[in-house]
Amino acid sequence: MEKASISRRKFLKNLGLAGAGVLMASSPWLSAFAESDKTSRYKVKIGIIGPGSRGQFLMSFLTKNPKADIVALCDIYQPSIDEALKLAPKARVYRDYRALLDDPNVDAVVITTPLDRHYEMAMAALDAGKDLFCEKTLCYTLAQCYEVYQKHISTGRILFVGQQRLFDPRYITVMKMIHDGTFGSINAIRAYWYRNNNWRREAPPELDELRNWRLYKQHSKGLMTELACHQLQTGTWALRQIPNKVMGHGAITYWKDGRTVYDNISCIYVFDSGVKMTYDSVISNKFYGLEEKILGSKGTVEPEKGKYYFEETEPAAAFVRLINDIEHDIFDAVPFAGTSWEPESANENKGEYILGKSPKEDGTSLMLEAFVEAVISQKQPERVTEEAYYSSALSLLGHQALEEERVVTFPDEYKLNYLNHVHNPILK
Amino acid sequence: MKDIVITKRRIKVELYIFLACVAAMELLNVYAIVVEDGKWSELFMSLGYVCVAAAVVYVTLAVVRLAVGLVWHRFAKGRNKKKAS
Repeated sequence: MEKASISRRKFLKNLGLAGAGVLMASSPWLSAFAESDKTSRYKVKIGIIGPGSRGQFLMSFLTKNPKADIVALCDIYQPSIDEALKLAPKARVYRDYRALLDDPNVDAVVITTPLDRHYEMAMAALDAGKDLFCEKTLCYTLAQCYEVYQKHISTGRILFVGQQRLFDPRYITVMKMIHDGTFGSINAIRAYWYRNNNWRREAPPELDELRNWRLYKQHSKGLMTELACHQLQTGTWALRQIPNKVMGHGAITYWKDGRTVYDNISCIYVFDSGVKMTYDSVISNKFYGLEEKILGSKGTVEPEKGKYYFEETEPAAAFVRLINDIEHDIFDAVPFAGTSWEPESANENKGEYILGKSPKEDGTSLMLEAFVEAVISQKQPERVTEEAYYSSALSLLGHQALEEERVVTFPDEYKLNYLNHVHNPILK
Repeated sequence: MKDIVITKRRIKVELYIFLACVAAMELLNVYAIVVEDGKWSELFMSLGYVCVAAAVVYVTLAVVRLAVGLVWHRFAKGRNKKKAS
């Protein structure tokens, strides 16, 4: 496995050369870049609906892309418009997203609004013939996600959802290794995201709900839709399976400040094979940060850290082992039982970097480049929407399990014909 | 203050002792490769460990030799005194 550091450009270049076919087997959505050499004279005119902090973050990449031009902005919060105009000074400003969608000068829209607004805006955008990039989670309910997916199919418009890990070179590279069996059989995934802040933004009382929409159930499903959505997708990507059951519990244990979404959640997703993916999030301790630990019989992957670890490492030199054996013979106490009672101590091997060095960026930039390429070529990259649909669906089902405190099974009527799932329209 | 003179012979002897330690540790390395099922390339790859182990053995030997020397020196001195009286 080549471990040389791979820059974004080099990574793209590799896709066009030897790496393309190999990596696309694991990450077929990379086909979005297949024609990138032939699209340099095209420019996609993009409208941003909801250019708040996340919207501006995405704009910072789009403004650097010579194939993208931000021509319109829409928001009801003036400070967001003012900030966004600094990034795209020539953009027209709208107060109503429907007016932006009526603008024939806009080819594609990016939706970065509160979650509960995604559905109506996404449906309207696809109906208006615009290609769509919608931030995750796709919609507020599973039924809405399914409708938007069906609308994308029926209109034939491009649909991307903000699952940047799908375009992160670390994840792409290590998923290929996982699918090749490098880490053996994957039997467990432990995903978590820990923070230590109240997740609240400064806002006058009358704007609190607007600014802090993530904290209120009527606008968001909290940690499941804002954080878990990204990480659950890693599990389905690694296992190439969709879990069919989820159970869990959620509570407000620390930030009792009027919010209505949980600040402490724990879920278990169960795959048909019995493999489990756990998800935890607590926002009153950040010691462990975030990670998706993928546990294989031959090794462990920590893609966020950008590292993997093999169970069996190269043994120490024979001379050192002999000295250690002598030392143990002299100093160790004689066990009066077998060694099976000894606890397994955590493996302390330092592992290897997936890309040969510490990660510096996620896949956001490449994801937006892929979206622009797809809009120009009018070719929906394979599986990118299905992966995103299921990450949204799993986070919403997880939230349902937390709310109802029961085991929730994936409803047949919302399954797509994808991986181990078969859609059953009769049950709808 | 009295100068300490290290003779050429002493340096030679110490060098031989150290080389003997290295040789003994390298032999132990061969034994380890056989017993622990190591690779023969470790004969060279583990030279660093061998040298460190040789240095440890050499220093240990030096301490023992020094202690024996001191005891011997004292014993010899006492015998000479007895003879003189």
